[in-house]
Amino acid sequence: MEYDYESALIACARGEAYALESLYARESRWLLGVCRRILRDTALAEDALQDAFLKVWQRAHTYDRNLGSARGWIYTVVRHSALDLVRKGGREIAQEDPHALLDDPGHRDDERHGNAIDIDRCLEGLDDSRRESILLAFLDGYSHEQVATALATPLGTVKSWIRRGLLMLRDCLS
Amino acid sequence: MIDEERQADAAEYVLGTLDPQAAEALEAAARDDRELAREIYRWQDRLLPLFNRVAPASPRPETWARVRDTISRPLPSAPWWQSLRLWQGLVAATLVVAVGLGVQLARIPEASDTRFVAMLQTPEQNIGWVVELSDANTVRLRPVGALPALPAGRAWQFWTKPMGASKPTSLGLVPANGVIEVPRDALPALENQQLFEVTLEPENGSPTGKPTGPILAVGRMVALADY
Repeated sequence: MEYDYESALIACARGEAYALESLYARESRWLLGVCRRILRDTALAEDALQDAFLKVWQRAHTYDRNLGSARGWIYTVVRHSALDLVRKGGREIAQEDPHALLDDPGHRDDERHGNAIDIDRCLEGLDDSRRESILLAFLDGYSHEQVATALATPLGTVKSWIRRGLLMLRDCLS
Repeated sequence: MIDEERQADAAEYVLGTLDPQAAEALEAAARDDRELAREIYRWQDRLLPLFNRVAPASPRPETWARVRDTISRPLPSAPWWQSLRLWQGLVAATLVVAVGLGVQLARIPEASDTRFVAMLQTPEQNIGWVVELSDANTVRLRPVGALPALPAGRAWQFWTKPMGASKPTSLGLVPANGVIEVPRDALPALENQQLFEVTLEPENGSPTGKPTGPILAVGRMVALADY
């Protein structure tokens, strides 16, 4: 039987600690990966993960299952926790080759189907510059300014790449 | 339907590229604007498969231990009435609180010497409901203090779940004045530690027979022996 993220999150809202534990058991490895990618530091990433699970617990009652998936909600809470931490610390922008990202093969084999294939296809349909900007912001947690520095492009151009790129993704996915 | 700029704002909110003030303003707006909230959830789900590209890493056991320790005790900094754990755990505290709020504990004439009361509260909302016996055969839900705003097209639904029950039982939609009375016989049970909650549901109630919306208030029944 498939794990029911929605029921687990709603049980958290009722104060049932076992539900948070089951979410943690299931997702913490993946979520720590997300935090580490953004923070580039394992100890800080663990701090972000801890902070994020407390937020999941405290805010679970605001989750509305009529609007979308619990997994999407949880990943947003966790990712935003990592972003808060990285922006507070004023991380240096990594001067790496952003093109390396594009060949990332993917890690979660059980989910390499359906939606993942759709978004891969839709990303491929974007200009390189828009795709890279969105992936740097999403996976590496870069701000507009950091994307602009990494791609050596004016800030206004990057802002427009991201905004237009997202709306094109939406059209492609719908 | 929300306009294109607003949709792009929702996308950038999820992406994390809005500046902090704009992100905060959007979050606040989404609390009252259901279409905007829906668009944010849509973006969460649209971008979710991208996480497949990130390599996993195993957290140290201490990380979960710290989370567990924090959630299993009331936060010392939080006001006592905001602690859900406290409501669930401390019978004595609940009695003191009930008296403090001026709750009249229902007297059950003759038939029983047990009184029941449950305080329904959420960690972040400063209002609550009380569940009590208005007479020996009637369970009443009534608000304490001001009621939260009820969004258009939505309704409050009252639920209970005895210990060990597989799912909650609906006790009906709560009228606009926040008060509902339910015959005791309509409850699956009435016992210590039984869960009561109020959720926000579609206008005609949950379409699935189970709670689907956010929980506005939740608490457990405390059985008080007569004294």
